[in-house]
Amino acid sequence: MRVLIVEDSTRLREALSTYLRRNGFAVDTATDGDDGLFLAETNQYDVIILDLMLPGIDGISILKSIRKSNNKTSVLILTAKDSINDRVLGLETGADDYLVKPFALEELLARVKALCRRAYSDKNTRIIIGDLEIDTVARKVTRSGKVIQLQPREYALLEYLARRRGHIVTRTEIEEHIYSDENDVMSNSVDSAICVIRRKLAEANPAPIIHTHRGLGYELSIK
Amino acid sequence: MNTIRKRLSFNLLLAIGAITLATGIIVYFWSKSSLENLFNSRLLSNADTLINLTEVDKSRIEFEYENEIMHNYRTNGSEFFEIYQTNEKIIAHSPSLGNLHLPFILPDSNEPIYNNLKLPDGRIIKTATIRYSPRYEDSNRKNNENLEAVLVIGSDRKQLDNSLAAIKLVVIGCGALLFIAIPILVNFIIKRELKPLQQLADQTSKINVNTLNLRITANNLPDELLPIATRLNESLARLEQSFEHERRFSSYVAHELRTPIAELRAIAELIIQYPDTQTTETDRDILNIALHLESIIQKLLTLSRAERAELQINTEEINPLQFISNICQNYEKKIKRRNLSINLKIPPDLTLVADSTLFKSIITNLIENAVDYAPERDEITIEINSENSASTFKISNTARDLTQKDIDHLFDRFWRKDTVRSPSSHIGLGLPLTLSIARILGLELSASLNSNSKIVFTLSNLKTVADELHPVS
Repeated sequence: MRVLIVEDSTRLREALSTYLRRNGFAVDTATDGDDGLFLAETNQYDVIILDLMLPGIDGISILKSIRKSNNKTSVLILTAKDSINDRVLGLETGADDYLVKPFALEELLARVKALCRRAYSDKNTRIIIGDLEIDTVARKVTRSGKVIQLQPREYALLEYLARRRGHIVTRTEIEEHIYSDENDVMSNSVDSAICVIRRKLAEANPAPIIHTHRGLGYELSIK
Repeated sequence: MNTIRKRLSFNLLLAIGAITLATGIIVYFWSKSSLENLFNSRLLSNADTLINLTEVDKSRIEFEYENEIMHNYRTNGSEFFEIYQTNEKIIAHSPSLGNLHLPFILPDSNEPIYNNLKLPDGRIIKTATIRYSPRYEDSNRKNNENLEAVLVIGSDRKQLDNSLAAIKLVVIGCGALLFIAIPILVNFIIKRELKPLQQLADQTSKINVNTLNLRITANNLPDELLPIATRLNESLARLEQSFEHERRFSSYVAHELRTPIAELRAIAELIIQYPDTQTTETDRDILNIALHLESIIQKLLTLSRAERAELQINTEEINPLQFISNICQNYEKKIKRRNLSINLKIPPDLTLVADSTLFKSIITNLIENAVDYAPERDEITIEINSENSASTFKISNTARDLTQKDIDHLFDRFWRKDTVRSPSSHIGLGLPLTLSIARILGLELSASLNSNSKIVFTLSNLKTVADELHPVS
């Protein structure tokens, strides 16, 4: 899952991006409103974490711009403004969630995950495909009852494929959702990661579950 | 009972009731007295006629019956008389008495004595007993002879009593009518006349901490209530402003404290969950956040002390050119980095009298603001003009983002224009603190925006050493 953090406080921005990366998210950051709007309009994010009081374009204006361009990315407003009016304004402008500073990192993570689930119209925190089971809260993967140990990015890729189960997901889509701008994505990065995941899943059950559609992409399904 | 309306109604009803009752009693007894007097006059008038018919003839008192007059005293009539000699011997008596006799009383004087008595047939009559001297036939009067007679004259008082009963009935009837009508009228009038007061109370009761924007409608209010409504509206305006100020202050405090606390909490939680993320840099960040929070609290405390005028003042002579040049030197690096220039227009031999520490705090704050907020390559002008024994300090720089509305909030605690968040060292306490210190020093600090989009801070009333006045040309 790919997240954009638009926050002018360097310390907070860095702490948040580190925390989300450690939890398997691909994170891009912007220090001001202009950069934030540019990134939001250029890349495809699952969630945008948006501060309101920003140098340059303010958060509400960014939100208005992206909603005007029919961008449906979930937006979580993260701000020190706590008045009812501010909350109402933020939510009515098009934000999906509103969190007031200071906050617990765990709560922010839970809200970001919830927004991701909502983005894929899936309210369930457990994804079950045949003998494959993914607990998106505990970030735990089991196949045929055996726990599969995955690296954060591997987990993110598997969860992304699982959320779009039955559909062919292109390499570009995977790159856009799993890798941030800061990651140097090699041409075979996605293929390599898929290969590793397949191998780890095969240790529990050799039946293939991730299928390659040559020239198109990958599909997670039971055939 | 504890309402003006009820108390007013009760007291008015009590007063009107007492007056009505007294009036009724007075009317009745005055009417009774008048009728009795009229009755008595008629009795006396009749008595005069009878007395004129009594004469002494040959030392004998005789009564001359006149048919025309006696007509009133016929059998079964309602008028009665009986004439006695002083020895109680009857001289004459009206046919209307039949076999009855009116009681004999011998008055001490000529004043009539009135009595009421009941006849055997149940009739009540009123009598007047008069002692008098009958007229003499001149030729018959013996020497010094003065015979006297006693006339007891009476009249049926049925008509009088009926009239008195009718008056009593009218008085009681009117009383009863007033007893019902007065409370209704009093209530109606009081309610109508106190309506503006009730409206004032209704409007006032709607005002609470959340509706301080409401105002009392002064239209149609009577003159007595107009000053109350006016003063109330003025107080409400002040209260609303004060609440708004406090609300804004609380909001600013919360906002300024929330971000560093959020940073601190995020870094701490990250380190606890992922200990490998702790580096020298994160430790330094934590320290810097703590210092930043300490700075906010320190400034708040100083501001609080300044507002309570608890700062000590030690005045001394200051050469402002040197003083301000030294402060500017502290910002030399930043001025160079931002390509700013400072234009000092201060007479070199001008001497001011001020507390150097507090004055430095004011000037430092104003210069720091100018250096941080002026756009790059801007010119900051600092000048002092002297007139008589007072000088005025002015500092100006370009401020394109600010509007007149922003200027009104510049001295509010924690106020910062949202779009002007950086640099982060400014937390919106500098200017209110500067204003408070200026007030303590007896100086006036104001800000204005001129037509060239320049913000000008003016510090006036600076004391100048009198013999060293050097106005700037």
